[in-house]
Amino acid sequence: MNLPMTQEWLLKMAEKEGNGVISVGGLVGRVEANALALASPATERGALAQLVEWQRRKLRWTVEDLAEKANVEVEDVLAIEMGEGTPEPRTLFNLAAEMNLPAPKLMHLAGLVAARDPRLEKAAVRFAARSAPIEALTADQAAALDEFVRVIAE
Amino acid sequence: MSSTPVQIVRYDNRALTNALLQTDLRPRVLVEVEQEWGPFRRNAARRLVQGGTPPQEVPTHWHWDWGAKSQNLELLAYRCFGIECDRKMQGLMMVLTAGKQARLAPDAGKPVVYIDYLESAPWNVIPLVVVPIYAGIGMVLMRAAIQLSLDEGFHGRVALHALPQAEEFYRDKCRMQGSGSDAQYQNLPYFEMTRDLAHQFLTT
Repeated sequence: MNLPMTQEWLLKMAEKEGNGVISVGGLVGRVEANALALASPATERGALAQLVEWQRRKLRWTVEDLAEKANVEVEDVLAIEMGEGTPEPRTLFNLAAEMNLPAPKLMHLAGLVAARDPRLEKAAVRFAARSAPIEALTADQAAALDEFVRVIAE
Repeated sequence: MSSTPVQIVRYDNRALTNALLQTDLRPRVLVEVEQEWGPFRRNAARRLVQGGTPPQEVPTHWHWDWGAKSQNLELLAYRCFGIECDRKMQGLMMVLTAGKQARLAPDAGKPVVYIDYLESAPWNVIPLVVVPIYAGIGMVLMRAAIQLSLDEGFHGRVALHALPQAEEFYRDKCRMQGSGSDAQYQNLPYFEMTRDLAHQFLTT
C-alpha cells in the first residue's frame, strides 16, 4: 500500500486529533457475550444496569465495596452498571446474594435465561425508563427501586 | 506480513517518528497485542474508578479483547492493520472490504470499506493515561482506510460505528457524515466518509 502523507499534514492532523478515545466497534468484546447480549431486550439490560447501580447506592457502597463484598472483579461490576456485555452467572449470583436480590430474576434480566415473564418485562421497562441516576437516590428513585425490587422478589 | 513506512507524532515533543503500518496482520499478532493492551486497559480503568471517575466517563472499550476478534481474520473479507513503533503496536484497525454499502446520500448503495474495530494503544489515550506517548494514530489509520478504499475501487468511501465517546473525533475531526444512533447496531452512532469527504480529508 502506497500511503503518501506530507509531514505538514501529519503534524496538523495529529494536533487536530488530540488523544481522546477513537474506538470503533461494538460495546462488547467477546463474540459469545455479544450473541447473548443481543438475545436480551435492551430495556431489560438497562433495567439490570440501573437495578444494580441504584441498589448499590441505596446500600451506600462504592463499586469497589460491592466488588469486594461479592468477591467479583471491579470491572465486572462496572460493565454491569454500564449495561455492557453479558455477566457471568457466578458474578450475578454473588452480587444478588450480597445485595439481597433474587438471582434467577437477575439472570433473566441479563438475558442468561430464555424464559419470558411478561410482568417482569413490563416492570423492567418502567424501571429502565426512569431518568438518569444522580449521586444520591432521590425519594422518587428510591420509590421506583423499591417497587421494582418488590416485583422481582415475587 | 506486508508493511509500509509511516510517521506518527511523539506526544511530548511533537516530533515525527518513523513507524511501520502493517497491512495484513495475522490472528496470532492480535492475541499477542491483547496480552499487552488488555492488562494495561483494565488496570487503567481500575485506577480511574479508584480515583473517583464516574463509570460513564471510563472509556467504554476497556474490556475489549482483540484476541477474540482475531477469528474474523479467518474470513477473506477481513483485514487487520496495525501501526508499529518502538516494537509495540500503537494502534489497530480491522476492516471489512466486502458486503457493506453506503447508506447515506449521495453514495447510498455503493460499496464501502467498513471499519469493524479500531483502537489506539491504551498508553496513547487520555484519560487512560495522563501523558500519552504517541499522537495521530487515528488519523493515520483513517488515512489507511481511505487508501484501501481507493485501492479497492471504492473511491475513498469508508463507514463505521463509533463508540459514543469517539463520536466527536469522527464527526468534528475527521468530518465524516453521521446519521445518528443505529438501532440495528447497539444504538452506536453511524458515520460515513463519502467520496467527496474522503477527498477533503486527504487535501486538508
